[in-house]
Amino acid sequence: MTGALTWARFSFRLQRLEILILSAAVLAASALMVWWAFELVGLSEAYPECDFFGNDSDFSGGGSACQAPTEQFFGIRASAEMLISNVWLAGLVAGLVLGVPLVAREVEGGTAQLAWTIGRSRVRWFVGRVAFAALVASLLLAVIAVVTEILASAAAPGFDMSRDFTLYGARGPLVVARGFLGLGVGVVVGAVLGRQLPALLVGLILIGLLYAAIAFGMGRWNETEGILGPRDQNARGALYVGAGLELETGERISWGDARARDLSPEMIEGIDGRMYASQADAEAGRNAIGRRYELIIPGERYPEIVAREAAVTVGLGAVLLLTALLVTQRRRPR
Amino acid sequence: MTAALETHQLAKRYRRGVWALAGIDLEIPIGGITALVGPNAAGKSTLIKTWVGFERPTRGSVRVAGVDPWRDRRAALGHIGYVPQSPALYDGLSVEDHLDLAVLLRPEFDRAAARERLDQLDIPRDAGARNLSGGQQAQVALALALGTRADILLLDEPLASLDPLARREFLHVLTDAVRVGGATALLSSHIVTDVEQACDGLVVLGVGRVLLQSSVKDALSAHRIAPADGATGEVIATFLGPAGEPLALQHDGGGAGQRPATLEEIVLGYLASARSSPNRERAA
Repeated sequence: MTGALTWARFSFRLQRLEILILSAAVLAASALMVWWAFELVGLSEAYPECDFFGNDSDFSGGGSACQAPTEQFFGIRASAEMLISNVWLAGLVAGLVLGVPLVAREVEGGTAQLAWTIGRSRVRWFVGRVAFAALVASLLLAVIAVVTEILASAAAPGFDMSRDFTLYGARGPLVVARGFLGLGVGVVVGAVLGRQLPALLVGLILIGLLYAAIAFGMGRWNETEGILGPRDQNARGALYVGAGLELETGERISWGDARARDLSPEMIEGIDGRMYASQADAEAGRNAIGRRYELIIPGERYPEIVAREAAVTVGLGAVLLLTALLVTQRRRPR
Repeated sequence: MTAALETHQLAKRYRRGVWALAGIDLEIPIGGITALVGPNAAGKSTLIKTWVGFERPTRGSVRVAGVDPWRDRRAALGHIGYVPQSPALYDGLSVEDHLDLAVLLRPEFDRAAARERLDQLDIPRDAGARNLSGGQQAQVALALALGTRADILLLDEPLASLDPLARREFLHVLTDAVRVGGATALLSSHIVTDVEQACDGLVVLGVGRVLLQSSVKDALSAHRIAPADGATGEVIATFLGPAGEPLALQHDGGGAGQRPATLEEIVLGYLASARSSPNRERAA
């Protein structure tokens, strides 16, 4: 325990600048989000008669008295969603900023020669440094994860956001998981390049590629599990994983396949919800091609899908950290 | 085991194709301080880094107390205390923090001895590393290396950036520690006068090869300086003296106008010989 605390003390001093900057950013963002959450909850409680998510665009539910609070609610909600929807970056960047200097700064500054000869094992040194950075990243991002959940719940009063894909990936555990991925990328690129600034730039590019790869892979995985969404209404809280055209024969094809089959590039949706090749056909209700369909994952599966993507992301981060350890074991200190 | 450090046909080529070491055989005996002398780019740092396990030999092998540092770095590092070329301490840590870190990295690190050594030198242990002078930083690096209680000390040009007084203090601490602790030290330098008093052995390295390996005592007794046209023994090389006069470094010999060679002249002579006949290599 004493050893762990000593490691933590050293690691903090060696990464004080990054930790303080990230902490300040997390604190500021969290304070703003908590304040917005209080405002939204306050409006919901102060105007229970106003149906903020109803269809009464003329505020008939609560009368004209609801107009001002509704506008205020949605004004704050728009700002909150804009901030939350950019939070997915926070985890990746925080991990990268904490990860890059771990090996790169030691190599660049020459201190690796000291640490790697006083200690007989680079593994011990590596684990000590990475463990602390991972802990800091996890704690900071856990704050963001919790606050984004609170704000998302406040922005959707009456809905169970733990069973809802709204703002999927921008709140909750995935923010922390992405921090682990960012850390892995930062450490491995820093260990390979041995220089901080180039490692930061290359790390940003690599993170972009990995994020896109994960998003693509998980999207395909989710698509295989998608079920047909309701035709006549939005599936509240669902994750949309695919869409296409259901032909009159019952065959489902993607929009790409529809174009490939030359099923009229400019289909018209008729009043009956079917797709037609022309306006005249739509108005007459004849020669229907089919109807659009959407594949969804219902909101009930939110915890499972989040856990799955978090596990994949953390797993990839762990592989990167193991790679970084192997690189560190073999690399020259300068 | 009779040698603390060994190389066998050690060659090292860097990626850009430059051969830093061109196949050297070397045995550094246990005990005492050996000076590794040579000009810049002679391969001194590369040689030391292969023993530390930082560089992998392109050909040949190295041993530290009988252990191949590339195959068993952990065991090799157990024998090594290393002082790098520029003492790279952690800017954000105090001197005392460095000692704590050393204990963390190597539990058997002798913190008490390191503290005592630093206190004797009046180096404030609560001072930040970035506030220390170059000499003090070198002393901290030496205290860290000595605190490992390693039986082999590898010092890679630690004197290069120090002023004369700091150099003398450093060498005093080093010789004292080696004599008392019975360790083996290899001190690389390109400043011959500094190592003459402190070292027992001498290795002259030039263009990636060992030009001379000898004890300092034997080297001094076995070489003489003669005017270039008055040499009577085996001439190692001719070079210009301080006044521009042509001198010959010769092995043994004797005669009118000759005098014992200084260590600096011996080193200069062997380095000059490497330029004129690149394959020369000998033990005195």
